[in-house]
Amino acid sequence: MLLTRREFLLESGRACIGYALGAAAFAAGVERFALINAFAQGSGYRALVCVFLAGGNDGNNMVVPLDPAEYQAYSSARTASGLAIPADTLLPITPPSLASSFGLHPSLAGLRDLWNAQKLSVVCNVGPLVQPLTRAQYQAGAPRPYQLFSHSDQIAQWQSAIADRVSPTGWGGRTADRFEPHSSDFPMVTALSGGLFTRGQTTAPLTISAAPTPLNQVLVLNGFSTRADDAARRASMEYLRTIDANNALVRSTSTIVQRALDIGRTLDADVALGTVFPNTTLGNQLKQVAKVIRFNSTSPNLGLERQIFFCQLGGFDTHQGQVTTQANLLTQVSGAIAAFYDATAEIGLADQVTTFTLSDFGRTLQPAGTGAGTVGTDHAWGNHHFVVGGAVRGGDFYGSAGPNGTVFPVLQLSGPSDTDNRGRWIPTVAVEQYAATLASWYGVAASDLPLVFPNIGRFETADLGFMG
Amino acid sequence: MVWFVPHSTWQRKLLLALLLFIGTFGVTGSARQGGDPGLAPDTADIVRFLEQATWGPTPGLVEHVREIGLEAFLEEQFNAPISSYPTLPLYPTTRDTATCPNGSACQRDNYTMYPLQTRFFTNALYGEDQLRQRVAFALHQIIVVSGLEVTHPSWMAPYLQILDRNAFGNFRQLLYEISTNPAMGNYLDINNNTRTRPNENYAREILQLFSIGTVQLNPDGTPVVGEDGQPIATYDQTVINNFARVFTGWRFAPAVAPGTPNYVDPMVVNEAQHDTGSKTLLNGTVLSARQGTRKDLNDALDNIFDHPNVAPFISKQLIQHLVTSNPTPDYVARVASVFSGANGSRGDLKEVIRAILFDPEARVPENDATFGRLRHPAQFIANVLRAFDARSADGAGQSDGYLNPQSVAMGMDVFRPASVFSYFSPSAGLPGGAGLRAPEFGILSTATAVARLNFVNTMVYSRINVSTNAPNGTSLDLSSLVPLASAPGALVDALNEQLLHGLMSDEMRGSIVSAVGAIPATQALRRARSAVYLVLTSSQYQVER
Repeated sequence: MLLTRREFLLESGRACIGYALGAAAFAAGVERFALINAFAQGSGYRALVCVFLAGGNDGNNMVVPLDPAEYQAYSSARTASGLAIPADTLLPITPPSLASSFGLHPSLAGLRDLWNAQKLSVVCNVGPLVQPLTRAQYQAGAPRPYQLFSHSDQIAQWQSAIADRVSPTGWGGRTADRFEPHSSDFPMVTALSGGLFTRGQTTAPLTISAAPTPLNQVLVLNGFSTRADDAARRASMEYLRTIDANNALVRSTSTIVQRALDIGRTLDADVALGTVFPNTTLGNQLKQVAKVIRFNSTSPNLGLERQIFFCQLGGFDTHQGQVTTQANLLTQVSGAIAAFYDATAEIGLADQVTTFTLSDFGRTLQPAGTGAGTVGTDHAWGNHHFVVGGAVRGGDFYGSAGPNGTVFPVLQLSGPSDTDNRGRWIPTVAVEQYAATLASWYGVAASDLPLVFPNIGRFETADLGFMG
Repeated sequence: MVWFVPHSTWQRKLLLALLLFIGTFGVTGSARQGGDPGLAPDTADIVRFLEQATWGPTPGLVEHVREIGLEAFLEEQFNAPISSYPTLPLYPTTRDTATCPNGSACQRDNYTMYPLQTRFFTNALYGEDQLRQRVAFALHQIIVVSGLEVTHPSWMAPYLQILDRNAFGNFRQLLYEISTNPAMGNYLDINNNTRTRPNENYAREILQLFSIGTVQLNPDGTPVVGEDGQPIATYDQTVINNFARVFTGWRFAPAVAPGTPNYVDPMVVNEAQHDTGSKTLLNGTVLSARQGTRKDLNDALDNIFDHPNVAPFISKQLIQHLVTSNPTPDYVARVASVFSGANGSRGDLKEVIRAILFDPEARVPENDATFGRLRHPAQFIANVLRAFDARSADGAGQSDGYLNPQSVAMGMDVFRPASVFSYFSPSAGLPGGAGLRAPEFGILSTATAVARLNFVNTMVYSRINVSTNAPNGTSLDLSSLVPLASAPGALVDALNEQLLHGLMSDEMRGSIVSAVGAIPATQALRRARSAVYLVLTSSQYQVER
């Protein structure tokens, strides 16, 4: 085998037993081995898994108040059109920090079980903000995120956690920027779907396809047999990447291609999971995430102590036909996230993996159209989100107290939580606060938070308290 | 015929210096480009020029340019018939699944980008107006409408026609046509923009992305810095608010049928919804109250067009799209001066393109270490296919242009960029590149890097087969290389000339010659394939230099 100097160093860094290692490389190998041991004890690993609900999920039908007066307010806005969920079909939950009951959408049985097991919490009325904002301030023209209610801009703001200007980077990528790259060059961030979230100043994600593609098939170079002349072609191809580095663009291209092929070689085996995942878009993405986590924890070449994942499910832009569409989508979300939690338990890392949702925006409390088959909702703003995992302080609601003194918005058209008269909630929690709570748990130092979230200082706290 | 091919940088520089010397003191005394009767351009310069000005050199085109020269070729390109895109029949916004079912050709042809994407590639492979297509695709990446949101091909086609029609026209006219285009009206919310709730979307993007950018620029494209050492903003939120009010009072022309909006005709004025107050725009220019929707638009576009940033902002991006990711400030300044009207009228894109392509820096790079740009996926596909006579899968006819799936795998879904920020940002940094710009690297990920190699494998060792969406399929023809395969050195030299315009290093040449030599001489096609595969997958080729 023709081994270039670069490859030799890379391979040495991986402490592959069987290579004749120089003294320095041997020391590096010992260091690696220590990390693998540390990993085996499960002390250090942490992973964040983002599930983006693309299109704007209607949080108003995902978490519904069951307190009679509150439910009445919800019902009066939504029942006549056929959009309200009957109280007796909601899955009841009682957050101890609020003195009242709520119901989860009937399609969320799997997530309700996680709530009951104290592995899931709800973060209420989160959204992009440039500063804390009341209805009066909003209506007086106080600064607000650019292009409210626009998909592309609000997606960018959720994924960048910056709402007052366009950002070329996302907060997953910037969080990863705060950590040293792994010695194997295996990226900290893995994307199952494209998204700004994954891109940092220096971080570029590993992009892979979902299950059922085996892990050892996600980055495969096609067209090389074991014939001698194919080996010669392969050797030449490898060599060409090591020369002509005078031109910076050629050099960078070679580095990226080399890294991709290295990762492809690192992903040299598929792994199995006993947990059964639903065969759905999100189920297959989260299954692949679980497999990468297991692979990382078992491969002698890896052992990253931090990983960030990005998954995405579309279809939530329910201007019409919301009743059926959202029920189907939430069934998928619930089944996939519940299976994923079970898989992390199977791997033995349930307390070290935290899953959370993001979405473009919430939707108007006031319906659009009428009739159970056609009724839908329009783009709004503040929204509720789930955080799931063994490290989550489960079974409660989190956020910042709004006009009614609780973290839950006032479900009233033209009420104190509304921007105007259609039930678009002004967020009481900025995306930065939600994200910083997760990033802090992940290991970003408090002093580094402003580097990841430049506007975090404008808000009361960087820790909403939902992580243990 | 074997041409002298310089194998090393110093040989190439010597050759170029010699040519420059001849050009400078030759018959006309002008720059040394083709068209000069006293000096036929050499193959390397022709190939490089065609990489910059077309979707890739073909052997026939190289010979054509050798005969007529670069300048005459450019004039030919300015006057070539426009390939563009046909106006497609408008369909209802909501698809009637009874008459146009899921998975049908009706759905594909009227509710997806498929017909435009295949046309894009057949235009690129076979169209005569190569330079116009390159410029139009660059403009598409600067002034973005995405099929992700403007989902019907019939809705996108008029937007693409504007880019083609104005590629050699005037930038001010382009801004006007774009501002009243229904696809843009939908994409950035000019349509139904009302005085009671003016939408900032178009106001923000026409300034930030389509014309002047967010910071004041020197004529050479570098940012102006204030006393505090920081860049100076070109506008603030108040200016955005005022432009948003300018763009109120527009709506679509009457629908062609209920539920079938008119995306073909330009938007029309809805005076009742126009904000009639005065507006304060860039540089304190004030538009008088009650001067009307269309005059407000035209005055506002003049205000933008006259801003000193437009010339360097647009010129630099066009250079990045056609020639090099990191032009020197002097190069930007020379082109921007033409944009500003040094050779005629301000904003004359034809003169700007001429200045870009005939600039000394485009013809003879000043700095080999930073010159060039990564071929983006659509360009990479077209370059590979045009180099080897792209044909249908059976070799008998033409490719059907069903190549977007390959481009998607490499990270570029043609006409469906992720957002108004396009497929990649002009300011994207080169990974590990110490401050260098490398826009196309924005979509070079681990997955797409491998996909590029696998695309070459598919085309060189196999083909894109006939399928439902690919009535013809696509294949390459390497037969012209087979006669050279008995001598690996000659084979590699030919590829060096054709694909790398002589930039191949001795080390690279030696490695490929040796790999080719590992294949028995009796397997001539296999030798040719191996050599072509190695050149096309190399970083040395992926980066156009």
